[in-house]
Amino acid sequence: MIQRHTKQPPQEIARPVRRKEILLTLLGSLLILLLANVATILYLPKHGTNWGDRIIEYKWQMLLHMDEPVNWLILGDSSGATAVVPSIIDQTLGGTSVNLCTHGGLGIVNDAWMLDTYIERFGPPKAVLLVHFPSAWNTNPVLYSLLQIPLGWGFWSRLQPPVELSPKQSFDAFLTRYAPLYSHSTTMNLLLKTPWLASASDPSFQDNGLLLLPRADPSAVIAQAQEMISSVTGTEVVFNEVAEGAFEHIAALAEQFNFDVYLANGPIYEGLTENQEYLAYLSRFGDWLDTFAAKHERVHYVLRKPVTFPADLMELTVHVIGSAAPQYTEALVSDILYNVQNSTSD
Amino acid sequence: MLFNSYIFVGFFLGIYLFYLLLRKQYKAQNILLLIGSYAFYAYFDWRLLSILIGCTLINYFLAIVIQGSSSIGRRKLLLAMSLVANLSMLGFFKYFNFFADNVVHFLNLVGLHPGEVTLKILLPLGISYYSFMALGYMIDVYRKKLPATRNLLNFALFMSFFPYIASGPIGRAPDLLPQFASPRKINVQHIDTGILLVVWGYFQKMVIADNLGILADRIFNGYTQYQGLDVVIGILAFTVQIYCDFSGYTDIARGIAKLMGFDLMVNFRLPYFALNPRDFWLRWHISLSSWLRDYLYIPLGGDRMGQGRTYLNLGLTMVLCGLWHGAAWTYIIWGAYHGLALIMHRLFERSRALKARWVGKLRGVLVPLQMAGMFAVVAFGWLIFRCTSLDQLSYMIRHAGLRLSANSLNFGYDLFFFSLPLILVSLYQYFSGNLLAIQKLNPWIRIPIYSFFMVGIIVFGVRQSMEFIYFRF
Repeated sequence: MIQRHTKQPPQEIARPVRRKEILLTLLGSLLILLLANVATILYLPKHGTNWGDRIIEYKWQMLLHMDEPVNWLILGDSSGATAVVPSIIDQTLGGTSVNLCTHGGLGIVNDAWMLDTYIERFGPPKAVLLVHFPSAWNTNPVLYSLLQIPLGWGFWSRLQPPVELSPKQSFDAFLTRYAPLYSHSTTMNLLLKTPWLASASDPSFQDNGLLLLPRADPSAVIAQAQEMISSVTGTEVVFNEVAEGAFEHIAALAEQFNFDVYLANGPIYEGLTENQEYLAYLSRFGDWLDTFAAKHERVHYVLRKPVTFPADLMELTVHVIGSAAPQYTEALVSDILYNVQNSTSD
Repeated sequence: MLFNSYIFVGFFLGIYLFYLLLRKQYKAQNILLLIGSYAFYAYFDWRLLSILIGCTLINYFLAIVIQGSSSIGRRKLLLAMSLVANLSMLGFFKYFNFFADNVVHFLNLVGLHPGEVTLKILLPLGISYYSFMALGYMIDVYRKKLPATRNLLNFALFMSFFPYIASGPIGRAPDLLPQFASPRKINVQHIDTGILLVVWGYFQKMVIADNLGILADRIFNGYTQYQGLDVVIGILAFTVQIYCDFSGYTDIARGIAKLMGFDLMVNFRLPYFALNPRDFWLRWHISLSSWLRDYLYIPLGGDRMGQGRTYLNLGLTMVLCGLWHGAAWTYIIWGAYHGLALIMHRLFERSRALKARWVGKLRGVLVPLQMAGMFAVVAFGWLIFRCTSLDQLSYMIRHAGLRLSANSLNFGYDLFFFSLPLILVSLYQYFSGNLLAIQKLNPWIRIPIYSFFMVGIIVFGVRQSMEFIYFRF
């Protein structure tokens, strides 16, 4: 074989083809592409490598398939998902609870939507606990994350408060939802290139919704803290329309259905609170939340001073590892009890 | 407007739609293509369009005057005017700062200290390509191999046709002008081959070249942090990257042209399967190497003026080939290195005794070894080419080896993962002796192959519209 072809470089020799063959090749290839895309739509929600997407999918499926109502509905971002232990809430505050915290990319608007969906299914809970990373109460929802919510097309404009999408965002939304081969290419890249790494990184959820993080990553915590400090330096605290609308909607539901809402800061890395700039930034959030809680009888602001942890108990600046989660939950419960006692004595 | 950008896809589809609508009026198609080509060019920098138009007009009129002139002296003078015009334009835009810097550096060394002479010069896109095309045309007209065209529209299109203006292939007027001057028929074979070239071209560029480019950039840009096998992986990654980047571009350009009914010359014929330096240059950037052969090496005397002169001609041609790629010493050294390799090969080839050892029963084993050896020679050349300074080159040569680091496994896996499709396709092309081997397969086999390419582009394609390496030259 080799001898035959080494004398001259290869040539371009095209064979005659029929129109039918080209059509068959093109349509066949497009069909396979389409099937691969459908397979990806079915596969990713349960096996994707993006933890953020998986948390959203998992928590919303929990909410949509819950059999019984709970007393304490725990909503929020990943700082709450990894730190609030429902079994401790059950033992100390009484009743039942479920941790439906998702992640920060959704903002508080997702809490409003989940609460609405819960009330629609079971009626109001006894209380709602909102746990967010202290400097992320005003997060503007990220479109990509929003679109991971497993509800039908257009849910963002049906749920309260609605999120309006521009035509360009609607097109991106279509791609994100129905062309995951394209929109989730980073995940697909990882799954196809290094499948053994992808399966090793599955998140571990407990039945009550707690996300258990097994290992601390002190160097990542310190690096992220530095980034956070530099990103907030000189930054104003501004609550956008969507976040404010979500706060007001939750407060209105609480007043309408007579349940209490507790706003609690999630755990943070202790190094952050050693920085004066960062503390000043946090206190501006605190002021906003204080004012908001003061305006609404059913809304209470707890853990105003965030519970801090050393880097060797954290996976990121906002995520405690599983062994540190009870410590945070106990601090949270004790502040809630203190708040309840104070309001009773008033 | 890079080929690997959404705006180009939209631009091409728009042009193609109108092109098909005008299928019975090829002159109107030419007007459309010229407007499209100028728009494509102006998108990069509209100011530089005037240089392209100026170059077009000068060569168009000079060629007509040369053809109309019967006096040899006058023809020579006119050709010289054209050479001066084209080369001084190329020299000014591409090499002024390089030569000025080096002259200043030399004067500093001998104790003279002139002021800064560096100018802020924008390099016009494709100037190396269209100035060589114009030169080739002028020389062909001068040699009476080709009549000067009197159709300015066709000539302007020949100089600016958007599939090749940015990075070639460096087309030849005798091949291209007749295609612009006659109605073209788009048959199913054109479409079939065009689709294959476009899909495979995008796969080579966006999947293989751009991903390996990330790896190569990491190692070359931070070279002081790497040694041993990591350096070797970096060199191999760049070796594959530059091939797939340029070959991918050429395939897309040729595929697009085919879809419009044009045939552009083949620019690559499995260069990494070359057995020796001469063979390599028959397979790599063929439009440039054959241009240099026909318009520089042969006019210099080629191999007709004795052994010593042949070696000199080879060396000079390859140094200029290096310089064509850019104004930097590393390119000149790279060209000289290939010149030296060609001279060594000639010396080696002349030895009948040695030549005899390459034939016979051992050939089946020796050929792959010869290919591997030539691949190593070429890869070393790419190391020279990619380094941005002589210090870097020296460092990387001294630190290349087989020592593993914590990164080696990941780097090696990336190199293997992204090179594998190229290796498989190239082997198939090699053993079938046909660059369009995939086109020869029946549709039921082509469907999974095309799907694989498309899924690969969607999932693994780097989407930041990374520039083609040969755009810089």
